[in-house]
Amino acid sequence: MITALNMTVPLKQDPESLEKLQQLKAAFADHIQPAIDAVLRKSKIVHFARVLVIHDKFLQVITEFDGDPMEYTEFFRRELPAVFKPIFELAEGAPDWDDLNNQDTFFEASKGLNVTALGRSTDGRPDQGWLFSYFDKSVREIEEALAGGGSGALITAEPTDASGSTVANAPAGPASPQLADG
Amino acid sequence: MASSPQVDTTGLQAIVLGNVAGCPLVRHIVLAVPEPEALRRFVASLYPFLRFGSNLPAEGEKAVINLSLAAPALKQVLPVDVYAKLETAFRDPPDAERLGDAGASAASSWWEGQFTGDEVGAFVHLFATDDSALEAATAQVVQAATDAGIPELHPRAGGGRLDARYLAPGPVGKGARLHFGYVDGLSNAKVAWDGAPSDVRPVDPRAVVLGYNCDSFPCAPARDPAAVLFRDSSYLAFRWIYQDVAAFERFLTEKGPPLFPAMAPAVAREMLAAKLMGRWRDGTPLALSPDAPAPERGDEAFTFASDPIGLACPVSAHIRVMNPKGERLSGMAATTGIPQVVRRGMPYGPELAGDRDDGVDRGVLGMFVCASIREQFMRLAAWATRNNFSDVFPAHGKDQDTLIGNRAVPGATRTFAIPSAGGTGRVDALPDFLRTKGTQYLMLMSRRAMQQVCGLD
Repeated sequence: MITALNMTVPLKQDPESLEKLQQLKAAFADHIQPAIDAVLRKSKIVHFARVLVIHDKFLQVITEFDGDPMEYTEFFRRELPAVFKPIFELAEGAPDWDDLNNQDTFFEASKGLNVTALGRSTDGRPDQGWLFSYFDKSVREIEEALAGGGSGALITAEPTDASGSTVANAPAGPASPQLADG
Repeated sequence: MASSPQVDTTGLQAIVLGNVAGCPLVRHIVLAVPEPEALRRFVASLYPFLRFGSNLPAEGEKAVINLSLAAPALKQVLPVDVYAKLETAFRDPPDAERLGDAGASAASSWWEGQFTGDEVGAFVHLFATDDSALEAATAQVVQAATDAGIPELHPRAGGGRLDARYLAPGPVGKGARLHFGYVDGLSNAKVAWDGAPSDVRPVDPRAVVLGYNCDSFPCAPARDPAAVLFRDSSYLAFRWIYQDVAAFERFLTEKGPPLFPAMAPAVAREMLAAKLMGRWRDGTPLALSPDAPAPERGDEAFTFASDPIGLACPVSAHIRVMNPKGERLSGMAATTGIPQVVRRGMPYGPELAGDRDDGVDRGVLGMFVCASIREQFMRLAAWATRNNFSDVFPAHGKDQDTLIGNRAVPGATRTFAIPSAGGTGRVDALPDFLRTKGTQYLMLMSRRAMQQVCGLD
């Protein structure tokens, strides 16, 4: 289940905030990017991520990741407060960071800033909109396939067999204790 | 990490402190959202009979009464800015999608269609020693509600209430048995109210009561003055869960013997039941005794650290998903840790006679006490829905808790892998054993919070 986050933050337009925005943009490559990179790498669930500023009016954090947005936002609140604090301090209408720096309000704020993509979700989640993914595999699945482990296949038929039968599967050797009653 | 606080338990409601001892009968009375003054009148009349500071009935009493309020009721009596500091997950209706309540468990079917969660103002929880004590307490509560002008809501299509009672007692010294035949109460860790978590009392009080917000135990209200107001109160997730006992027993009969062909069929059934739960039905943890029940070891501490692939206890077995002690967590879970909630619950409905469904409603009324609905209760529900919090699971992360997973969740597998030294047995079509019939988020206020919020002298 790959989830898209399209967090779109309207930016304050007063001179002081715009000046801070320029500072953030200038510091991004050397200071912010490495911090985010390290955390994303550690998470092992993020496929892609990027941060955009649109005409100094909006800041976007766009990522595609495995799993649930609730866990994802909490992970980043805990791991990257030094990144999100200055971002939310530039956000129009955002609560003070001291109020926001809490798993509950941070998730709600992030959810409120997420823009649902156009189109229809391909996995039954209406708040997701359309997300195309060629592999539709988790980062771990891709990593294992590239390493030669797992099934080794990145593109497979839908795995779920809803036939109701119980089947044998004995990858560990010939002495499997189980069954084939299907 | 800040040290664990010492909590004054004298102001905590009984069910926060433990299952109510000596009271095998339970009734939950659901009340509508009252007008502010009606709520104050109702709480004032019930307050002298509410049990704080002990999970035993008061001396000479045969019943315990606790009261929890839903967000719409609190909204009536709290200043807007204080109400806004309560956890959003509490203020909002339960998010069925994030709880894994899909298909027949969808929120649209909850409460047998008699009402919706936003119509609920309060639950009154009654615990009684016998039927006459239960009826007497019920009459007392109903009179108080009637006098205050608060209508009762009946969650059953036939107009009934939510009643529960223990089934047959379990083994000596253990809890009673639940509908699927497992002994109850063994995995319910105790809270270290003295501020010194230990092997015997491992749960930090900050996981249970509000007012001690910190990075490791985040909760809302996070900051004063609202945090002080609600200190030592708890959130409560109430779940009405139907258990399909016939389907469960049929599953054991059909799948047990072929999965474990070297065993006699009756033993194979029990082995499969143990693999689903992570404990034998008498309570013995598979982690301690994987080959046969050993009830004398049921209370011993254990972890899954020495069983990384699930040879003793499958990685998706229920107790291992809910509390993967000693398991190496991955990704986000490694940062957030294992959520802790305190469970109180009791079975409802008669035991199924035989193995054919009789159409009677039966299951469990579960109460999950915590300091953060989102961080604890919802996170555990997410883990049950998708086993993706450790590298012990398949990389796709789509397997589910074997017992409580909802197979109608989009993308979920129905696979249950049972590794053994000789290979991996596998079930490819796990059925749904449970169905959610209702979920309500409530607050169990401390004595002091109730006094202040409801204007009691």
